[in-house]
Amino acid sequence: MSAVATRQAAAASPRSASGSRRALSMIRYAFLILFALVMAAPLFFVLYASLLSPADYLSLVPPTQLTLDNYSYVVTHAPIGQWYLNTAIVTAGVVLGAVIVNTLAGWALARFRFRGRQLVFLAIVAVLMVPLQAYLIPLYLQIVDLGWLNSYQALVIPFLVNPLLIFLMRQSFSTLPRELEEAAAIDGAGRFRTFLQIGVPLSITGIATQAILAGTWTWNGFLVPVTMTSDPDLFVLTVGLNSLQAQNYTLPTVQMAGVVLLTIPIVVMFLVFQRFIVPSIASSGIKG
Amino acid sequence: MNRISRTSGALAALTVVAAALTGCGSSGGPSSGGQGAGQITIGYAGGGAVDTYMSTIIKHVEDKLDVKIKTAVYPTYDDQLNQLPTQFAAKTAPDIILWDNSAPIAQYATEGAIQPIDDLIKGTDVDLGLYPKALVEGWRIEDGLYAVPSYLQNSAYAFNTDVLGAAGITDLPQTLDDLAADARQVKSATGKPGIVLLDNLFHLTQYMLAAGGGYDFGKTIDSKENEAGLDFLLGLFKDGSAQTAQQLGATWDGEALANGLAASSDGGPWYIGFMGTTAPDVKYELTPIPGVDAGSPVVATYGGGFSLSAAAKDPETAAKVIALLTDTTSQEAVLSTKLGFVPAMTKYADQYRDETPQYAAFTADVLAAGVSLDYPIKTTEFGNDLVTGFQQLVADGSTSSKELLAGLQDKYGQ
Amino acid sequence: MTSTVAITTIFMQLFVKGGPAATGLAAFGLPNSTWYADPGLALAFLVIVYVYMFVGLYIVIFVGGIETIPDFLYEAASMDGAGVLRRFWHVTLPGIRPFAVFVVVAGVIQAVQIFDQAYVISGGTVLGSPAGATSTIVVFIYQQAFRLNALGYASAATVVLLVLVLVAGIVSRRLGPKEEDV
Repeated sequence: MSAVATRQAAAASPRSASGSRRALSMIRYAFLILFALVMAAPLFFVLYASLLSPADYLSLVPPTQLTLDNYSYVVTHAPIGQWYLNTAIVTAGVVLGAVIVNTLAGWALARFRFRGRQLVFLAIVAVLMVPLQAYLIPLYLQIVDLGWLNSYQALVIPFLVNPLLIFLMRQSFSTLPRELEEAAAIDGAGRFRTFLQIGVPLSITGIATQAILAGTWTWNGFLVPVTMTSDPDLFVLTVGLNSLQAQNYTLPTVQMAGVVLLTIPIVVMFLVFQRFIVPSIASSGIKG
Repeated sequence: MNRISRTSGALAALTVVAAALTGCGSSGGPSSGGQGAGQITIGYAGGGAVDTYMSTIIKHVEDKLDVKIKTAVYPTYDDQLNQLPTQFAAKTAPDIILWDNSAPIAQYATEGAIQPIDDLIKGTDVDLGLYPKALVEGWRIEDGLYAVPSYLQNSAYAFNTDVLGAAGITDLPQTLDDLAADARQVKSATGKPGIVLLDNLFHLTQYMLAAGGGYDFGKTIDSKENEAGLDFLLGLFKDGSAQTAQQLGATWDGEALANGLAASSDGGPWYIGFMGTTAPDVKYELTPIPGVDAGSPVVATYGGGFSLSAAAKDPETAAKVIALLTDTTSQEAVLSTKLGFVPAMTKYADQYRDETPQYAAFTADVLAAGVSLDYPIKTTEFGNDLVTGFQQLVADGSTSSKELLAGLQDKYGQ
Repeated sequence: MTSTVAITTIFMQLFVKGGPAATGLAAFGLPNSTWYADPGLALAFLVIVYVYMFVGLYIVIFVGGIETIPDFLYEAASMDGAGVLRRFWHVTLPGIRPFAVFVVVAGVIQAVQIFDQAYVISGGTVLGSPAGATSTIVVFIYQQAFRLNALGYASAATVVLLVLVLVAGIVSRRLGPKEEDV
């Protein structure tokens, strides 16, 4: 997140040479840098704690006393490669499927005129309010009925349709000017072509946001995989890393190392998709 | 028209894909949930030494018996306790469950989620005489035995002798009154609380047991002794001589003790492994919990064991598996895999004590005289109400422990 | 241990009695106590952690929304002599309106569903600690469904939650500006 702030700060560089403008932009820089630091501080703390020996947890030590022991503990005590793979498969499945399903649904709600459109939309927003904790057990029973316990599809299929993402896409599509579609229709483009050639490219930011949201939720999700899987071969990272503790107590430093291992791919993924969210930011910095 | 049919064509294609995915999944049918035929599932909370221990004894079972063992692993014991109710309801719980009887065993037994195994183990080598009596009794609910013990746990009192020394205390307290006096002395001399408490059912119960109380499965919730146990804590909380682990910024009591944030806490053998790993330089002592009178300390003896799910397909085979999971070879594995637990059989517990100087105070006699955890039947709900009520008493003291316990007796009493 | 757990754990260290945040805020007259163990402050602690965890996400959504505003609108506004503030008021704000609606609705719903942070601070003791101060509606639902095996109570609580939020939604639509596509 802080990466956005700093990039924005960089993008907001002054076009004018006037002194007061420069002072203003200095203040803006200072504020953004401070904000970025505050946002990033806990993450640095996690990184620092992951390099401490258990006895040093929560104390300040000289850099020479830092150690990679926690990481080697994780790597030697756990099939971390398998966990990464499982997490990647599930996340990729959810992201790909969710982007297709929710984008189509959002387009329909934003652009199609059909009877009961408002009702459907209200129903989706209503579903949004049902917390996972309330429907997880009924969902579990359903998964048991389907014979999907301990399978990838139990972690993917139920989470393709996401009301929040449909809502996001509907809002995203509703900002597009209708004139473009009307022009496309006059040129003889069908509904699906209009969607693919006008809707999707112009809402690529919305779609990228969707991918980031679905990706981070799935990657970081714990309650669903811990409920649906009990076979260690199918553990995702969050579940597996949770099992990395001694029987009656936890070693916070090892857990912090686990969080770092869990977070790195998310940061990479975010940096990749971020380009789609802020594609032309360098050339259009005046906006902010 | 053309446009619409194209759209519906795309939707139809999606439906086909979804149907294909659904179809191939459901071919397994509803039965493929927890266990297949000729296969026994064992559920336990995994991680570290437990995985080594479990794979060792599972291999032992598979060597001796023509059976395929499958494991169902919960990442933490907390997760196990959270998932089991759902799995019992959906009949997907493992056939055999490794847990300890500080869990709501009586609740699951009365609800019929687990089954008694007395008759099933009659034909096996299980000899209940090899275990401390209190340990076996802890698994007996309404005349039924609900597990064969695997490891032994007991409550204890842990002292950070560095912090005690800083307050000028050299002799460990022998009674609850001594303990309170020492806690206050630590507070006034060092500013640190003398006692750190992890305020949950298990730990609150230890103080009531120390005061001579107990629940007797709900018959004696509002006893004078239980009231005395709570008042002991409340008095110390009032002047800051006792604080919760949370208040001290620790996730549990042992962490506070290891970091020298408090002088003492109730605990158990798990402190030994923890202190050795995270605070090797901190001096501590582990003793039975001081009681009302000198010379009559209290411990709760309980422990881990393998229970049998009521939904198990093949209880006879499962019972044979349980017998092997708890036989002498498996008990040796508790020690050889460095599980960090005290083996359940008296003989191996003695061996553990000989190898572990910190555990010396817990002689066979002390453990045999231990009380069991006789929680009210609706254990989880009772625990929630007891702890929340206690926290309210600490926060504002608007009621009294007498009223709290009387209310709980009405709601959960038998 | 997920990132929520890690972040919450770190904030707990900041807001422990004598910790940096608790000490700093004590200078403004707040009590120097362990926030998440104090029935009067535990809920405020949850809010702080929650805001920290979500502010970045909402920034990303707003940045994405601002990106959808065509450049020519800004150029036209500049030519008409609009300054930075007026461009923000008349171009940026209307342009991100659907995104703002999304953030408000999603923010309210996710805040109502706050759970993970409450779960972490009550680790080892009972959910809703201390003294029920963090017993949010989803904490109750989870407690009933998972710990007490009372799916009926959990479902009833969900329906109540649904009605409450729907009523709030209808009221805000009545009071708020009416626009077709929002």
